[in-house]
Amino acid sequence: MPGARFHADGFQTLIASLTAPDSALSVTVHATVAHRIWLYEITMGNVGTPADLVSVYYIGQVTAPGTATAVTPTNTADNADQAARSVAGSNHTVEPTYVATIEGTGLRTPADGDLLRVPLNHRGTYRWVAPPGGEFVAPATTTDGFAGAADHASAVTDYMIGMHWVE
Amino acid sequence: MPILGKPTGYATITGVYGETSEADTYHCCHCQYQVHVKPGSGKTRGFCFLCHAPTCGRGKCQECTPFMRKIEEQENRFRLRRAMERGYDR
Repeated sequence: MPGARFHADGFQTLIASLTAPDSALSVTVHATVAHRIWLYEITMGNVGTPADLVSVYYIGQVTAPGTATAVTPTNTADNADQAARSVAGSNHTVEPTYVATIEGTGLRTPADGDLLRVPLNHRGTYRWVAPPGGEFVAPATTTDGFAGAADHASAVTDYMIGMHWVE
Repeated sequence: MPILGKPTGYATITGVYGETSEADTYHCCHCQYQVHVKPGSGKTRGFCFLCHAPTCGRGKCQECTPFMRKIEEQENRFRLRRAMERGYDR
């Protein structure tokens, strides 16, 4: 496993829908240079005046990143090292192509391509760390990778998902 | 706490009043789905005797196909597609 470690955060506003969630962050393999991604840490929570409500937060496999605001990943291990080859995007306006169908279905139906699904109070935060060898792995196939979204039936507050990965 | 000698992931949830709850996690050896270990939850999970590792328990993961094999197959398909796009001459 190569050793360059990176981090990116993504933000999004909940859109008061359980069937058409908007994604906050995607991390995908470079469009021309194929490389694997090992995702080893995820943080998430609601950041926009959170109320006592619960959202489902979802991390899934994707095959295309959709359209989003580009985020420059931070090299967390060695700033003198090369820049990330992975492509990170925040605040999606066109959803990533999830392996599991969530557009029109929502985040609450288990399906192939799911990686993590957590119901979380808006006033809470969640952090998951993988041990060495226990990371999520994305194949070295261009534009494959990971993305995260959250939903709520009525809230329209902002939420955040952060990912750390090795590539 | 290791599961079958394999290291587990670790989840920390900070609650409404700042209280924290922690849980070990493991990933399904067939689909990578992350499962929080909740002793006594009553949920039925699976176990693969070929991988010697727990699974998420969903029906599609009852047949043994390790997720790394799926990833390698996906990469092979990608390389094949790239080769076909380049043509036979190169």
